[in-house]
Amino acid sequence: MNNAAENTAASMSVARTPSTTTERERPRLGLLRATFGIIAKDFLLEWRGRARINATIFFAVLTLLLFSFAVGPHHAILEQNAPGYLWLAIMLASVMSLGESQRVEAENAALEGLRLLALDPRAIYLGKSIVNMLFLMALALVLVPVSIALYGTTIRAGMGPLFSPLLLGTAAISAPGTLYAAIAVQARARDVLLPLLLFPILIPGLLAAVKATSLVLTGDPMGELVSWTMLLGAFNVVYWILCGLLFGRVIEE
Amino acid sequence: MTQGVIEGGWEYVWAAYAVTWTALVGYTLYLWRQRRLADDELRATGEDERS
Amino acid sequence: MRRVLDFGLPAMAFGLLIIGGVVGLAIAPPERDMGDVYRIIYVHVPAALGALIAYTTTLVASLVYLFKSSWAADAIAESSAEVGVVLNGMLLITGSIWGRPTWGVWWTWDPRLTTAAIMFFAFVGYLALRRFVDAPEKRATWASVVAIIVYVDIPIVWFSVRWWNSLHQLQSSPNTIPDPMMKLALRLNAFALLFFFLWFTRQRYRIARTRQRVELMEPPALAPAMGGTP
Repeated sequence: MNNAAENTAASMSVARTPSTTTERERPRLGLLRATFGIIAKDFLLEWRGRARINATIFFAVLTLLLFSFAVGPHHAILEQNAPGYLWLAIMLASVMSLGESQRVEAENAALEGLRLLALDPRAIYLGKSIVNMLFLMALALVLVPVSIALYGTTIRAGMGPLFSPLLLGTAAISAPGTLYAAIAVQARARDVLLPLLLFPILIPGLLAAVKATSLVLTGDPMGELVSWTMLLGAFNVVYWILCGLLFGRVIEE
Repeated sequence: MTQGVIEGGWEYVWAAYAVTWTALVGYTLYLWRQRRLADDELRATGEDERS
Repeated sequence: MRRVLDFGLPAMAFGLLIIGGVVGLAIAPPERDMGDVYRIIYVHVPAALGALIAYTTTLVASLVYLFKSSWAADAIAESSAEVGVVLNGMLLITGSIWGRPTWGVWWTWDPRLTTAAIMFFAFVGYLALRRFVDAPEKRATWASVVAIIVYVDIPIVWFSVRWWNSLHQLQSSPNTIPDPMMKLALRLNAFALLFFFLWFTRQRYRIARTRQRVELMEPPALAPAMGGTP
């Protein structure tokens, strides 16, 4: 009757630790189920505190404010550059958000616990990067109305088309960001190391996201949006796969 | 857009070559010093091992 | 063999650089559009080639480390990355110096220069990571992972910046090298920097290996507890 639940419970209470035999331990949970497990765990943790998302949103809104002060009350310039400010704010805030996601694991050796469950590291990676992406997406959705207020942007094509560059852009940040955060949290000078490592390789993603967002906001007379969306898509495909494959080496003992 | 021949500009050429030579010689000296330091460090641990 | 390389590599490097300099500065004729300023190409392009070879070496060595856990591979990766950053820096500065008289600006978003700038920061990050991690296995593993991620990014950066730029139709660096003396000068300098890369990487590799040995030795405080003389 409850065979599925029993199986899951049985497999999650591990009796054996990973042995040193040459035969590879098959992961107990399927990739999808393990991924959902990680996603649920991280969401639950965040919901209990809500500290991360609050702090991140405040920081990002503050950044948008700083941009308008730095540039000055030149409405035309502000409106024109609004997509750039938006994505810069997301990128800067992502450093806080990504770092926090990994700190949760570093405290109390929680990552060790995950490892002992013989979870496929790809599941851990997928789960964490999806959660990171969703957090950044939530942040982006909050920042859009703030940008409209601060910079006077108008959304000519409607909110629907805006969804695509926001999703692809936050996914692009999350894919390498999750892996780099896992490294940085275990290294010295972690707060400096994460942006130093992450930002250079995000530049093509940043370019594409800003261009795509800009085209959605101000109209796309020459049909360039497709190309930029495809570039973002390609970036995502490459990095989600690559980082998924490499993540296991990053968190191994 | 450039039209025709740019006159002179040798100071830029010299600057570029100076940068190149400085970097190459500078890095040579840097490596030489690092080599010394590393060998000294190895010698230090080696001696402590044997004592 | 060791002696031959120790003497031969720098001799070839400096020798070719000097000869290449003479050919490039005195013997090759002025260029049609750019007069004599174009001669910067003789140090700019070889630096770019050298940097690319260096970074590719780091990538290959990193892959070898991930599959074989070879400390030698890790040392090669570290060394060629550092040499690559030096060459990359040279390429950026000479590129900027070239841009001033030809385009009138110290910097431009030319796809090649922009990609070079991003690569520079990316590999400086690689070197910083190595400096901030103390455990040797973790350092080697993570550095290898980062090297792969960075290297994969290079073509992506190149295409995206080229796209981004094509909308503004910026002038790119000229490509034609018709005169045989020009070709010779370029080749001499390119080989010169190749020899510098080999020599520098080899020297840096030795330093890295020495440091590995220092790291893996027991600290002196443990020696008495181990019973004195071995």
